[in-house]
Amino acid sequence: MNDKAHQRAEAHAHAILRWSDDSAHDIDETARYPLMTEAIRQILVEKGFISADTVRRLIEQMEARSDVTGGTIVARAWVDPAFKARLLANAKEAIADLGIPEVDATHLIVVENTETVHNVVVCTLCSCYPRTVLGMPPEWYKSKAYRSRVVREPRAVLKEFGTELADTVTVRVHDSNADMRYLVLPMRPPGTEGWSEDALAHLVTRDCMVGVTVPRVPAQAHAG
Amino acid sequence: MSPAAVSPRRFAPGDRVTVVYTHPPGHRRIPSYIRGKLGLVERYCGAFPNPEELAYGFDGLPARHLYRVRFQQTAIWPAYNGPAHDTLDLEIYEHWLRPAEEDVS
Amino acid sequence: MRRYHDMGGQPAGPIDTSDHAIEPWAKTLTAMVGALRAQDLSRVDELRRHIEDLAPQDYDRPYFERWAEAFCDLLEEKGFTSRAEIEARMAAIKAAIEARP
Repeated sequence: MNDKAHQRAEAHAHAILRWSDDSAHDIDETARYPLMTEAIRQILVEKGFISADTVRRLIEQMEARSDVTGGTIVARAWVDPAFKARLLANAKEAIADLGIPEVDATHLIVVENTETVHNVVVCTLCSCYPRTVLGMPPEWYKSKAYRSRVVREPRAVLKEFGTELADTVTVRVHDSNADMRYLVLPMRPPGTEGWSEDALAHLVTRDCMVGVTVPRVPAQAHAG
Repeated sequence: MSPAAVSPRRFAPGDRVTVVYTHPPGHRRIPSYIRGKLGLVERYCGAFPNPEELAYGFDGLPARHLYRVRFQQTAIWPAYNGPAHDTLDLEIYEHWLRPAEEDVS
Repeated sequence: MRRYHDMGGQPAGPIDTSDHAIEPWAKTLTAMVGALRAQDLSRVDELRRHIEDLAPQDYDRPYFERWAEAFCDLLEEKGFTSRAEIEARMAAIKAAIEARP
């Protein structure tokens, strides 16, 4: 095989991977980490450790993930008290009943926010996160600042996200240092009576399910 | 994995426990800030292969018992800035826990 | 005694709460790690250990960059490839890209 021609072809094939939002970013494929990743990909595929198709398929799955999976689970818990009870007792079984295939809730624990308890999740040792429910963690969750500070001064950190809690509320931090993964079930905000499950699901942001914010009804919903 | 290969559980919810104070080298999933601290077993999480061994290519068996332990924030941090009822939960493997009464402070 | 990655409780500055897009190479990296894991050729615990064993200046790299460095170490430890082989291929790919019309 002509090594150079092979590599040129591979490099060209890689260049067709674009930003999924179709924005006009220039990808510098000669920067260290794009090069390193492509080099590893070529080597592992050539040696038969992985297949190019598997890599492509996994990327497609990542990009196709719904942003509303977590919100769907929360919305169902808000409208169905029996489901909520099952969710808090055994997340795996309750979520399996909903029939959401991409969620592996084997080690998921759902923790409930109430009038007296507010939960917030971190992984101080790395960045463990309920990926099968929420997708990839945000940059701030993985940051030194969050990982260092939220265990020691959770109320100050929550304030940076715009969340302030009365002293009568217990703030409960969950450091996901082992096999369990945590999802916060936020309180249903007032002013959402009669809303459809779909509307409720879209109200629940990822940040609410990590526990740094609470769901808010947009101002225009109060009209009429 | 045969249940007979897993030892009986040493702790139950409500037990007062102390995290062993030690700093062995290698891959450990017990943050230093919690080592030596006193907490309460909140629930049993199951038995899992030991990550300290999985990290080096061993099978981590027999599985170790994992407990969710709840700590008062004021018991962890000097000058914690918040109410005394704020808490922190972590999962701790059985071999990192001792009954609280065993420790003389 | 406290290792660098074990940062719970350490002093730190304000949190940048903005969202960042994930670069294509980072998705490819995630997919490759997942593909090896799915075949039980590597464990999440092994990658974590390699990340923890990085020198502080490498640990301080952005998240996926430190994953990439740790992944190289993991692959070399397992004998799947070597840093030298990876670096050589990186140079070849770079040359091929730069040779494009």
